[in-house]
Amino acid sequence: MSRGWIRSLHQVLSIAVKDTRIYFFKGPNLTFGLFLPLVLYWAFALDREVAPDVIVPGLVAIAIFFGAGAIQAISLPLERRTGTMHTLLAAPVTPLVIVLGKALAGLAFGLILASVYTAAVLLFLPLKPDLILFSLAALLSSFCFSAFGLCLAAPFRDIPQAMPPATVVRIVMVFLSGTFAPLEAASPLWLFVARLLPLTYAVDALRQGVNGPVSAPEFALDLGVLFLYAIVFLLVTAWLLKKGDV
Amino acid sequence: MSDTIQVENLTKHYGDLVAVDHASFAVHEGEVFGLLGPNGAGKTTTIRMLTGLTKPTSGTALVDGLDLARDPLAAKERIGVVSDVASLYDELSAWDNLQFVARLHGMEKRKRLGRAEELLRLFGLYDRRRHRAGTFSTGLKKRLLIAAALIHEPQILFLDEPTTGLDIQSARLIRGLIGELTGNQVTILLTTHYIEEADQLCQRIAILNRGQIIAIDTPERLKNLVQQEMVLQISFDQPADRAARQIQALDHTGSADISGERVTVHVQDPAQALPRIIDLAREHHLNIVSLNTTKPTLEDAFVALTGLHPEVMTTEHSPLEHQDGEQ
Repeated sequence: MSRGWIRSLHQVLSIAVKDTRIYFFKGPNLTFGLFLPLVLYWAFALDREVAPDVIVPGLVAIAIFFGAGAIQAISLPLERRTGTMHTLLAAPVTPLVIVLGKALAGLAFGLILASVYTAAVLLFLPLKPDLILFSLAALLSSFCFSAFGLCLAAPFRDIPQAMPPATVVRIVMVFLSGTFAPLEAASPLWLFVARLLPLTYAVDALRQGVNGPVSAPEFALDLGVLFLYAIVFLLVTAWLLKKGDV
Repeated sequence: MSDTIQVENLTKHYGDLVAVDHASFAVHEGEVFGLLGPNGAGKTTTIRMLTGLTKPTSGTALVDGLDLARDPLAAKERIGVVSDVASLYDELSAWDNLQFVARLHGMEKRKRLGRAEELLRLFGLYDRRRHRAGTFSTGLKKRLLIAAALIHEPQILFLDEPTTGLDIQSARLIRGLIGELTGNQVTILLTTHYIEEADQLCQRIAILNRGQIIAIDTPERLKNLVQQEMVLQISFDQPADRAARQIQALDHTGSADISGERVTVHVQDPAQALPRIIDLAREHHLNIVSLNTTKPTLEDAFVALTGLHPEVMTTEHSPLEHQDGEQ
């Protein structure tokens, strides 16, 4: 590995560690990461007698979806508003390094939430997930949704500006992605839209992690799509950061 | 003397607004160079283009021979930036903030630990190194920001309005630190709208107005541009309204300010004007208590070059005004 790559890696890690120290325990993270998924699930799924093997992946997917992205909805606009983004961009770091560091912090937050929810749910439900597949699905989902959160927050300079549109987009995606119920019964149009949404692939991958893989290629496809989406979101965010006057 | 910063026809448009209009200048190695102008003159936009925070619409900027557009990372390794809106992380301690910035610059552990201690001592922050930056006053935060900009030992330091909004003591301390840095081969480009600060700190000054550079020279040479007019301050032993009006009407005299017993008058040739003024004082039975000639200030040069009233520069109160008494 060249010196440039090693240096970039150190920069990514420094930004990720800094973000975890500063933004992990901000109020909106707890609201969006811990409580919102629970409330959403309580409101829309529990009274419908949904099977546990649907509940667990759905709940974990929502927790990752809101949690991994929540830290970015705070950090990016806040860094722009307070001027710390100037300090970052005045250093010899590329926008992509900044974005990767932030995505890594979001990924860590998503994984922590996924672990908390999974552990809590498994205490009460008789499930035996494939921990390797489930962890892989949670890892890729966290990466993708952390990048997605960055992309949603990138155009904004303040948290109150960034939060409402991001929340609306997320809630719509939650309903369309088969989080509360399997998509087998969905109409062709709904199915078409759902296939465009990364959350659909996260839910599917996590379900396969709980119930065992439908097939290796299908599981790999879910992970591949999540990874590709993550890369696209990161590149778009880096481009927005580079393009916009800070 | 080599040029550390070379700017050629640098231009920035924001829609129809021309923020910087074909600015060209060079900053010599080890020099303190000032961009002086009122708010909205284009100083901050210029410094943002020179530090890679804003892309120019056209023109080139070379920092230590490196084109910011083509090689921004290598250029940024050579510069430290204290922007007017930049800040450090309130949640981190002074020490951790410096360590974070040092890591971004790829500094080795031993070097960054030593350098952080050295800078915190230099800036009088060592005893508060474990305190969160959020607990610091504006002046302490500015000191920490300058320390962070110097952590990687840059060859060039950009300071955007370094003393704006600071109390007198902090402003004086920061000006002192800037003075100390000049002996260390650090090239400094600073922006300010405080005329006295530019006069005090800068070896050369570029005066900007409405995005254009109007003049570039040393403070003394800029003052000499308006040398043809001198200022006479005459104090009489009693109010001198009538005499002052007649002084104003004399040949070779310009505008006159009357303030009770004191008359301030701009004259082209003091040797010709003085005997006439003394004669007028006798005619009006006035005794001259004191008589001073003063050289034009940088403020006079600024007014002559831009046509702006100096008040446009003091929309925010200058710390120097309090410090130095009357302006």
